[in-house]
Amino acid sequence: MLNKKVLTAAMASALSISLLAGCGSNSNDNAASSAAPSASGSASSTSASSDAPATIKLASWIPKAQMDGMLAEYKKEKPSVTVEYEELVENNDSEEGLKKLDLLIASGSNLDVVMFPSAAEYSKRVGLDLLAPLDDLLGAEGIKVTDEYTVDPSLNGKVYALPDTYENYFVLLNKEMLDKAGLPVPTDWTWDDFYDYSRKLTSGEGANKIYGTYFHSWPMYMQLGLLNQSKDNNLVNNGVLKVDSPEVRKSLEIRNQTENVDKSAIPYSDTISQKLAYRSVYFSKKAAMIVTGNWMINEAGGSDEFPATFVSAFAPMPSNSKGEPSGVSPANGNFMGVLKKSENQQAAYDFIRWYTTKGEQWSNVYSAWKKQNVDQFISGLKTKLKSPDMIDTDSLTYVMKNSPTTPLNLPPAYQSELEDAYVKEAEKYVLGQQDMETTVSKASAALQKIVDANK
Amino acid sequence: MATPQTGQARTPKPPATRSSRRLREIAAGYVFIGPMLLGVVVFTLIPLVMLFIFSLTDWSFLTGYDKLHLSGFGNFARLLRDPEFGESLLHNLIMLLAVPIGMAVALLHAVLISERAYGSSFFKVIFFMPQISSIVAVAVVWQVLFHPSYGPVNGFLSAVGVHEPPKWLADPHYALPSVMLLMIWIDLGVSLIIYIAGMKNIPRDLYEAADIDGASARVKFFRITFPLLTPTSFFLLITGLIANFKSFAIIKVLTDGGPAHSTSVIVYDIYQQGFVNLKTGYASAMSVVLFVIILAITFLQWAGQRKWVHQG
Repeated sequence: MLNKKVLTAAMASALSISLLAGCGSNSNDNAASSAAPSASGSASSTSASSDAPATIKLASWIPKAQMDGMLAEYKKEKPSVTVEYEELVENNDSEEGLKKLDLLIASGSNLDVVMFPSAAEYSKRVGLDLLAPLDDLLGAEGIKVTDEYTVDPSLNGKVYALPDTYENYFVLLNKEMLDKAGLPVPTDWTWDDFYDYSRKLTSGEGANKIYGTYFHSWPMYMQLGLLNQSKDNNLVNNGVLKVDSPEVRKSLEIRNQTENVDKSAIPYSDTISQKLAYRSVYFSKKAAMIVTGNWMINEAGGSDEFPATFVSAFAPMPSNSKGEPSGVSPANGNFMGVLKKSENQQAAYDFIRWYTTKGEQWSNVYSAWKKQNVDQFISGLKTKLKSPDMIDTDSLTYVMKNSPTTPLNLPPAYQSELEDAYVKEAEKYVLGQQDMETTVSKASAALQKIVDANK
Repeated sequence: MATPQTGQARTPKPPATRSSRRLREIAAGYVFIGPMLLGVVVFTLIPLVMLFIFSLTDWSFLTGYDKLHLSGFGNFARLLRDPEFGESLLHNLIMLLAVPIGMAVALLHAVLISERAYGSSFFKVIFFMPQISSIVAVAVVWQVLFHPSYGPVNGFLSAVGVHEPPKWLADPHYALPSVMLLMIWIDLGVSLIIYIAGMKNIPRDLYEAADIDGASARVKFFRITFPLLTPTSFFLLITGLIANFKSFAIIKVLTDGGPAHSTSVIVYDIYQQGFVNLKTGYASAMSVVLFVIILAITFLQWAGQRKWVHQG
């Protein structure tokens, strides 16, 4: 009862805040613009406008402690610009952070720079016309976004954000368990080999059973045989459905084979009913390998919450059949954009340019900047990690150099609706409630409806 | 007009004096309810009006008010064709069963505790425990109890010989009943306390008269206790149904509407559309439908109460 009341009160106040924001945004703008004239005044008397003193506000889910070092570094680069950081959540949870960000934007907060954890979230906000196009600023600097970055963030021919971290997917393996089972680190493999590994890495019974693999609850784990394709790797590509396809069938088969037939993957019923978290599953040795992305490279070397107690090896994404290259995965990552209503477009742009290039190089994050050097990244990684010995350098180098990435295939703005509808049917299949053909035909019908509704 | 001074000077104008005093009383009344009224207007009435406006637009709360376009009843037309909304509505209606069942369990316990058990206050505290615990903590405990492979519930079931016990929260057929079970368990304490209080108000002489007539315990329950508790039951039913229709927190922490949408309810859909898919207009239209349904149910109950509620 009490919880419901608190919730309704929160909803009501959120609504009224957005109401007040409508009236209050003018006063916010005044505060910002009263600072701006003095800035532009001093700029005209000194030199280029990009060196003008400015204060820009950045918001993201990244922990403040991590961000502070980065901002101090930027202060050295540009002493006149102050970046205020707004930490959205305390637990590094990007999904929760996004909700906070949406509320902040809705309440008229004067943020300048925002960060999105995936191409889908970025595309959704561009659909709502929140972000400023950066083409003019890029043109003024004289660069082409595709020359600078491995990911092309253009949407409808315009650039609304710069790609920051670079994410592609690979398989993270517990090398101790691999050695115990006498298995080599795979370099070129198919899903059939993956099943085999998973079976051999499974041991024990009951509550102490160690599984070969674990698939997290994210929608991407229901599309594993689709996202390792080098083109058309979305459920809907350019308005055309790709549900009734061998790739989607393969994706469903991967889950069924490992979870229900071989019983070598943590069952989906456990995953959802216990709300399992992939970090604790992997680091507490409940599963020997997980399909994950390169944000986990740093974490495999240990974090405060999950210290590394075993060596992690890396393997490329498996392919669907022999002959196809393994290691193909869609490029994704964080994106940084400037809000349309920001008063400091130039200063904000300068900041994200620095952040996505030299900034990420400084903090040694694998970024989408083309000039970043892989070997330098790995050696840099070793100096920064808590336990550098817990990373298998050879397999990491191999994976990074042998992962052909696909051009970023930006999903439509209604991607989350598509994934919801697909996962709903896929869940029933994985839980043994309906067969493959029913799943495919029902999902096709549901997704077609969404595509039609969003035309 | 008569001023307070003329009123005090005993001028023979009683009607004017009376009306001015009345005006002052009304003014004072408004001053006293002012803060509350302001709160209701700002936090309830204005948002409610805005909700109705938003439901007619295809707006998203992230964009400014300059992007607010009226789209007529398009949202409502889409709702009618949305099978997921229909499913959620059905789940809501099934979930309503938890209210009468919970009330029956509470009444049974109330009778047992107040008449048959020693240490009744001990039991009151025990049954009230879930209500005062955080719903998140309660949900986590039940997640573990309902663990599909090694949970105590399924451990017990397989020990007594049930093959393949249900996967509870992870099974599309059992997830909704599991959630309902939890709701009954959580709300039991409140209903119980209110029933016990209601039973204290029943005059003892009725039972004494029944004893003299040789009535059995069953007859006393069905002829005295139950009829005289109907106003209490009515109160619990009406508040229970409204709260049940609005339940969100328990769904969010337990199942996230899954598996396969089997526990999604209207309020969860509203959250999903409004705050995840960022479609404020569509979510508002759902809220309006929910509002109308709750209003209709409440009116029906008020109309029906004459038939069964004992009027003291």
